[in-house]
Amino acid sequence: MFDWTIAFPTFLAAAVEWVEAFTIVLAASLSIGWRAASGAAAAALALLALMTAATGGAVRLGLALGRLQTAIGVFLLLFGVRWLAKAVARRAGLQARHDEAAEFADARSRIAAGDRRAAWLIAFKGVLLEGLEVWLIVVALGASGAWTSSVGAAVAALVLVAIVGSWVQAPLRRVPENALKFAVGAMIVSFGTFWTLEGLGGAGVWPLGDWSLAGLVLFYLTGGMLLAAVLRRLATQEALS
Amino acid sequence: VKALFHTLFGDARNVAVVTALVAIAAALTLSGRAAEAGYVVPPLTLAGIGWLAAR
Repeated sequence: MFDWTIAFPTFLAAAVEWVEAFTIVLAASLSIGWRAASGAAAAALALLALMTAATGGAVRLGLALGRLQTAIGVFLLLFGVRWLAKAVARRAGLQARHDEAAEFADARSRIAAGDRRAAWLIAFKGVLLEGLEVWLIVVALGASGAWTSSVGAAVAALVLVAIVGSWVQAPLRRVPENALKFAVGAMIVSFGTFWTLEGLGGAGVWPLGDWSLAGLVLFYLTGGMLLAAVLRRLATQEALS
Repeated sequence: VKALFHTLFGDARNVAVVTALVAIAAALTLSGRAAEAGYVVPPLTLAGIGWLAAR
């Protein structure tokens, strides 16, 4: 059965990472051509697909549900806490927002200093590293039993970014990356908190059962926005004093 | 390897925050206060996020 509560955060998170990967591939394509750059991206994606297939079944082997939930919850916390913290810092103006144009220029300057092989490797490594984050989310969210939903959402995001990117032929700067990162961070931290506590203390931990998950998302979204406002205010006061 | 480790776990501060959260969650649930954990851990998580964002 398709699980939208898993597919939605996976799709958003994957879209953010694929946009970053596309920028690197686009920069490489200007040096080695679309064919070679796409080949590098395809090689990295094939490796990621193999990893996903290998880990998908292995994650569930020999682990009791409680331990699996805790392990996945901790991984999601490791990932989500950092995403949400970064999004809060950017919203508060404490950290520069991610700029696809700057990322593109950086990749171009790295490629200009190297040869064709270096450009291919930069495209390969870029897709692999960005894709690793997608792999982590797909495996963690899919391991709860919603494998088709998490893999399907990540692939759908990849197809969408590839189509739009090929059409635009420029870094995808209009994607509201920080807003997406904020929302996805809140959702992933919520899943992480929910599963870690349920894995450790059983279903009785959450007073509203599965509905507590929606409450957690709301809590982290509003809490994150309040945090950003407070941090922005503190930074302004510090700058004035 | 460093990039892979960073991708999977984040930096040392991130690992420290999550380790502390899991330790608190485990302490609460193991001491029979599982029902309170659901109200204690989310605000602490948000505090950890705030600490990380400020750095």
